Amino acid sequence: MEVILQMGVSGALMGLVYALIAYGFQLTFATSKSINFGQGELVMLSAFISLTFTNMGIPYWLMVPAGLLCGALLGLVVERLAVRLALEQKSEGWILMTIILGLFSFSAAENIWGRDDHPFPTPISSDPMHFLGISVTAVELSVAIGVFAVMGMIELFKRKTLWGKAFEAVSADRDAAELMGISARRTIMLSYGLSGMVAAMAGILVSPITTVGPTMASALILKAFAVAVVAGLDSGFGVVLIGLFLGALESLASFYIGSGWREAPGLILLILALAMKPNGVFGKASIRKV
Amino acid sequence: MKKTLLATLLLGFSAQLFAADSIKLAITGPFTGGSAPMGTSMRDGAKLAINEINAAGGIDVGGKKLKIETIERDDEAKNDRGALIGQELASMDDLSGVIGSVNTGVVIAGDKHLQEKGITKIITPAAGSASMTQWSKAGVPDLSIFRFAAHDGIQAAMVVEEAINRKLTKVALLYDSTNYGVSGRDDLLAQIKAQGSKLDVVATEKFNIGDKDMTAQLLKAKTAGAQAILIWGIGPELAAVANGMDKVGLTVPLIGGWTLSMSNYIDNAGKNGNGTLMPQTFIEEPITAKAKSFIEGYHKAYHVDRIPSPVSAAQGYDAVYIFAAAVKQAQSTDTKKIKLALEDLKEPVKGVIATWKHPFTKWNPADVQTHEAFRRENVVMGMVKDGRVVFGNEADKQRLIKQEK
Amino acid sequence: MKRILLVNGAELIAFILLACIPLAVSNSYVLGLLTLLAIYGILLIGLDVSVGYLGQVNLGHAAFLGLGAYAGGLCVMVFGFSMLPALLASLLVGFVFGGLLAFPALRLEGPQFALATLSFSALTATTLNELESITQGAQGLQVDRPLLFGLHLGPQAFFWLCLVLLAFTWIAMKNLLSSHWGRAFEALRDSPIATDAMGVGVFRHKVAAFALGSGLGGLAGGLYAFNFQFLQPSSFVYELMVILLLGVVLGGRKSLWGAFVGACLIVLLPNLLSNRSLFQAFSFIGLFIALVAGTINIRKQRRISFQVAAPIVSMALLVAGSLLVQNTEDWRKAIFALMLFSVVVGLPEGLMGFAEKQLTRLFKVPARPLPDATELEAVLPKQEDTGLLLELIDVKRHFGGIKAVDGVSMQVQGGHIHGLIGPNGSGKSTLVNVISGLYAPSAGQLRLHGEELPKGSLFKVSQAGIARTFQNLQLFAELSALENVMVACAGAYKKSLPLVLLGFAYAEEKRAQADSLALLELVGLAGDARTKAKDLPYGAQRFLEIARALARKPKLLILDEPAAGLAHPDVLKLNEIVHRIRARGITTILIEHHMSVVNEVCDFVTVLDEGKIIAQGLPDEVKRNPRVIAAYLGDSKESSYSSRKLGETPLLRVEDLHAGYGASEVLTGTSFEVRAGSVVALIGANGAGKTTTMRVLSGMLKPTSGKVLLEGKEVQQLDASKIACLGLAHSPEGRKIFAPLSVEDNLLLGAYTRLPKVFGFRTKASIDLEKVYALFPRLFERRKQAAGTLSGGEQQMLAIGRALMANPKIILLDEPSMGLAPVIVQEVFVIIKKLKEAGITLLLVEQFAKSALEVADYAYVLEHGRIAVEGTPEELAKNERVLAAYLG
Repeated sequence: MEVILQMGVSGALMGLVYALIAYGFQLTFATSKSINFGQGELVMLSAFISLTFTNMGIPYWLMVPAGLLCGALLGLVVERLAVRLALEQKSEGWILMTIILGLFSFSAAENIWGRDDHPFPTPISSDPMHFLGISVTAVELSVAIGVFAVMGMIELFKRKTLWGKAFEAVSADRDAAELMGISARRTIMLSYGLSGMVAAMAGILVSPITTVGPTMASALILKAFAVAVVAGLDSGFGVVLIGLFLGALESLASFYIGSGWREAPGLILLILALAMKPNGVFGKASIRKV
Repeated sequence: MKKTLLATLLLGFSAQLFAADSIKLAITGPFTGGSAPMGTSMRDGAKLAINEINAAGGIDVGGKKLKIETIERDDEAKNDRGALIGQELASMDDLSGVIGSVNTGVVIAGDKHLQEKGITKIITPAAGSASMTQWSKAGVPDLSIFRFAAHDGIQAAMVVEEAINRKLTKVALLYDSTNYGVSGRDDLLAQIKAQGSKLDVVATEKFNIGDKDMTAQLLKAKTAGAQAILIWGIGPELAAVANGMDKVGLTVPLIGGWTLSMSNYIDNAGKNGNGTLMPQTFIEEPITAKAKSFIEGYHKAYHVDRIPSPVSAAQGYDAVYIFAAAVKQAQSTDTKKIKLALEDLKEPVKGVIATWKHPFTKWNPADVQTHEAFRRENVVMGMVKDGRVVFGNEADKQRLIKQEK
Repeated sequence: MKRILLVNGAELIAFILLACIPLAVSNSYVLGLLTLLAIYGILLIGLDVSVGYLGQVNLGHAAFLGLGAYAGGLCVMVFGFSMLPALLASLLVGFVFGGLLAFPALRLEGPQFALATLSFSALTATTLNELESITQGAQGLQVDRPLLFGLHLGPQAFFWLCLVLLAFTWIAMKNLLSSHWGRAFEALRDSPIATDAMGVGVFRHKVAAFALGSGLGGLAGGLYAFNFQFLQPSSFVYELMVILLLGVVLGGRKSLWGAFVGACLIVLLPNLLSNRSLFQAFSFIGLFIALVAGTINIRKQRRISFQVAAPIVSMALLVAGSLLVQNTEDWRKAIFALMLFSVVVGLPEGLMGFAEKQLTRLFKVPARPLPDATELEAVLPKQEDTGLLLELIDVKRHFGGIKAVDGVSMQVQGGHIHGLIGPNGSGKSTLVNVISGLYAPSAGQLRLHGEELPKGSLFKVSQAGIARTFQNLQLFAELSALENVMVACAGAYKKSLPLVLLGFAYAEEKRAQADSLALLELVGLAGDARTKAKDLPYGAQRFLEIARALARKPKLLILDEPAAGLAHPDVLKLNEIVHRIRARGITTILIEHHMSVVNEVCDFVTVLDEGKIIAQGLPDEVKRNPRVIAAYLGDSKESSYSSRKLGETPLLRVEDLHAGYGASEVLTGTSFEVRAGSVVALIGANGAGKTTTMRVLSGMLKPTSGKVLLEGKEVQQLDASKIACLGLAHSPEGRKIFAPLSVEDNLLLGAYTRLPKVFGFRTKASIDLEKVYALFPRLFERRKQAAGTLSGGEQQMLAIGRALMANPKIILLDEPSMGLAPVIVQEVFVIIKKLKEAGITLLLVEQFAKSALEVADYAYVLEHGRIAVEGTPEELAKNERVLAAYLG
């Protein structure tokens, strides 16, 4: 019993990171129906940049906002270079373009920061704490807190500011939003900026656990995709539930089925969920029109 | 049309290599991707040696001083790239030799092309047992492939020995899902049996490349009462294991393959890495003059204060010197003559790991040791201590210093 | 002969050259590259099926390569298969797994599909790795090259085998693509809905195509296994997939040559890039090409766009890199990415797509002659059916709370042309969508010849004998007119897929051509048989859809607004075509707004309003029915007009506006003006161009020519959001409120341009909010509610309120009464009167002409995209042409 609980909790905490990255997909999908297939590289780049800040002697609590800002800027770069043209042409070229940009970022990171993994310093202790027979580290808890904080802040922004409401208006009905004087292009830029920020947050939060390296996000990103799609790309907080569930499932699967099969349940779940609910468990169905 | 054009271009460029007056040595290995720290350290170590040789004027061949010219190829740890690079190198008519490789799959896919053409290759810094046993299994009468690495058999034996010496009875095996990890698992199991089955394997757990959460595997080991973790894997996942052990409160020794000395383990495990034991062919400690000059030379040339993978760098370095000695003895750049010289090196080669006396002998398909340079005595037990690898046993250190004298 | 040489010559030469290289060059490296090239050629041709022809981003192809490789390898090592059976096993494994994945995955589109296939490849790699007892897991599987007919193949012979298989694949794909299968692939990418409606079966074809592509992946896998003779699961992962995908895109989608060039690039580039001087040469050539292409483009477009600049910049970066970077090996992926970036941005159709375009310009290939058209009687035998054909019993279709079709019972007699008319939003289109299977009915029964009609499946209904056209054209734009018809040819294709692949479908292909030509003749398009559908004039496109529907040899034909957007001569032609169809005895349901057409061709007319039937009978009777007139013109007890003297300053002026959608020009020179402080009504029949005018005014649609002046300033080229900032508020047709947001948020967003964006916007908006709430007390009650939950009338009020919040200079009000119950319509007009009293400038588009004229100060009548009549409401009410504009 204790083991199940321990496995479930550690898995679920990782699941929150998947959920955070998945949330980044949702942000851009809401406004533009596009997502960044190079989001993993964005996580990695932001983590490296934050690490560089730290190495320059910038204290942690200053480094975090600086890292987030850089993440947002990178998000804007993705939008400008890879997404905007394809959206203007109404093609799905953005899928390829974001993959290409990811490939470039990966190679650049390899050459700038080296191919090695680096530890990511954090003032938060990584000593385990024990509750009810399960052990959790403060770093893991900080991940949970950070995930909820950043998602909460963005939700607050969407609900409590007029810019945020404009964001929601564009995702509800782009044409009508334009008629209100809201520029859809700027809103899409905003969504990519936010999405980049979310990626940076994910990088900063998860790096103390996973270490920073060019390949750090490749495993994360596949699961984040799974979470985003299973939950539905327009489901809001659905990603949190699915993220927690998938994380725990993964962890339990690797304990009970075998550690090599760790990823299998998530992937099977993804294919099944898509087959039965193409728009995701929490997604909305669409009506065909002629 | 375009393709034929490219093919001609290609041929043109390989033809260009005919002209120059030099010894052509190819260095291959994974320079990008997950195994890159090993590949690049090996490459940099080898280039350090080559630069030293070239700076001293080159190698005297037939009264003419020839410099070593390198051809670098990144196999990305991918088998098909390895095969193509093998074919490419095999088609170069004036290639004197090849040094490199980390991944067993790449070696298996690529080396057959070199062997077909009889091109001399020294496998270093790594590659699993299968990279040599494939030839003994096939029973090839004549082999141009040599290995300059502590093979997994030696390492596994030392790891098991260490556990037995510590009077442990229950161990857990952890290994990564790559070829390296899986064959390491098999070697460990074989060694446990060979050393009298004194160890009881209570858990055998696998982890994937990229896994950062080892709670499941470690909890299994813990609940089964493991007294030590024997581990085989590459890269940062090892650090995740060390950190996970701290988290689930598993305070037992961590013993494993030589990859535990790589900086990505030491840095990322931090204090949790202290006390980790692994067989090493080279420890980054300036205990001898040669070692001192090598370490300082590396630090200076590549602007680092610690070698990412000292073992790989040192093996790459020594391999070049052994190769150079063979060229000198053969008095030829012909790869087949160099091979013959390698099988019977007259002069001892003073390397940074050891002074190599007759490292290889004529190939005997029944005994892969003939083309293996490393013996048990070339390997010592290393230990992680405060961010560096130090000698695990003081006796080893003294022995090496004595040898040097 | 010349044709054959021109078409196939390049391929022949390429294959012969390839086959000869090993004879000339005995270099194991070159041979290795060539072998890999042939294998990747097959692999990429397979991938192109899903990426190019199905238009889906497939990230699972590496998995099929792996599955095929392991299948082939295991068959040899475990069961001792020889070469050909082992390769067959590889192919089958790819095919079967492809089919299995396709079933769930192909219901998805775009990113979801990409993710599903990505998961599949990750799952495959995991499984291959974990099933150690079978696959040897990570340790790798040693594979011996099996014997071919008892012979051991050396590197040369193996290369030739790969080349022969590539040639086979090439020929088979050519056969397939020139058959009805290839047309179906094109068709379902252009319009899946029409493909289903033409009885082709989108899903079936997609699954078959995907399985076939995967089978080729499997075959390539088998060759891969016997080439490298060593397999590890880690070879078949995401990274390889990305490279493959990029290869296809780089080479050019939807092209065998493209796949081949892509294979060349991904096989050769990594090896070429390891040579620094070669790489430098390449990057300079790349920059040169980018510069040349850029200059040409700048001359054409006269501005520096992203599409021109990006490739030049990235190539310049590449050149700089090639000079600076010592170790190009390390940067290989970045180099690859830069090259891809320039190609994808600069040449979206890929290298071969671009080259093919240039080549076809240089070499004109004479087209293969067409056969003579079949006798019409043989294609469309005259039907002599006069009994009851289609019967609807109490059919309903609801969308949420909206009852689009609300209990319709009607009968269609065999051989009749049955008109279906009614004002906008009356439920006609929904009803035919229910009949044709696009929507399942919420309740009720449909019977064809007394038999229950399948529900909710275009494909099944089409198979049952109903064919339709679409209100918004759903042609297969990239196919020629003839091919469009051939896609739909019922019962013409009987040859099974293997026979098609082997090229045995030639005869039935010819027959289908002849049959389709007969139908093109029927609609007067025989001369345009080879023109691409998208290049036909708009009228011809409408007629082509009819010909295509006729190719189904339907029992019942549904024509959905065939005259919409047609010019007068084309309307006459349409009448002629419908007469010819009637002469063949084909029963037809005709939805139409042009009453002239209805009057002329219909035997019987049903009139719908608010989802219910309000009248049925002969066209002449129906036209005089007061309920019908009321439904069209609006119900008005007493006529009271309240027009005022107009102000002097024109706030909005429209001059000679032309605009449309694609080939159809809706506005053909509209000019009018709205003076400050006045209410102007724009009335006219459906399809006259009212809503299009509004869309142009607010910037949602850019006009092709003409001017829109807002306070004297030209705004026709500005974006909608800019125009909104200038003080023009548009309450659009269909209201377009933000359904998930609250009522109050909707209103706040109405004032978006005027409010602070982060803090204090609520306080600043409070006065305006109060004003709106005073006007619409019901919105105040529901201010916290999600706008989507409001009733239709409330939503309309919200839309008006939202427009008012902008404090605009002018409000465009588009069809405020559409889809509302009469009581609510009255209420809406009361509001409009209040706005008028408050002195707000309004441009009102309304189908209920009478109601509109009651509130307007001045009015324009729009007919066929131009102003036909204008004047004060009093003048227009007496004008015969107003009624004529509506009811013909």
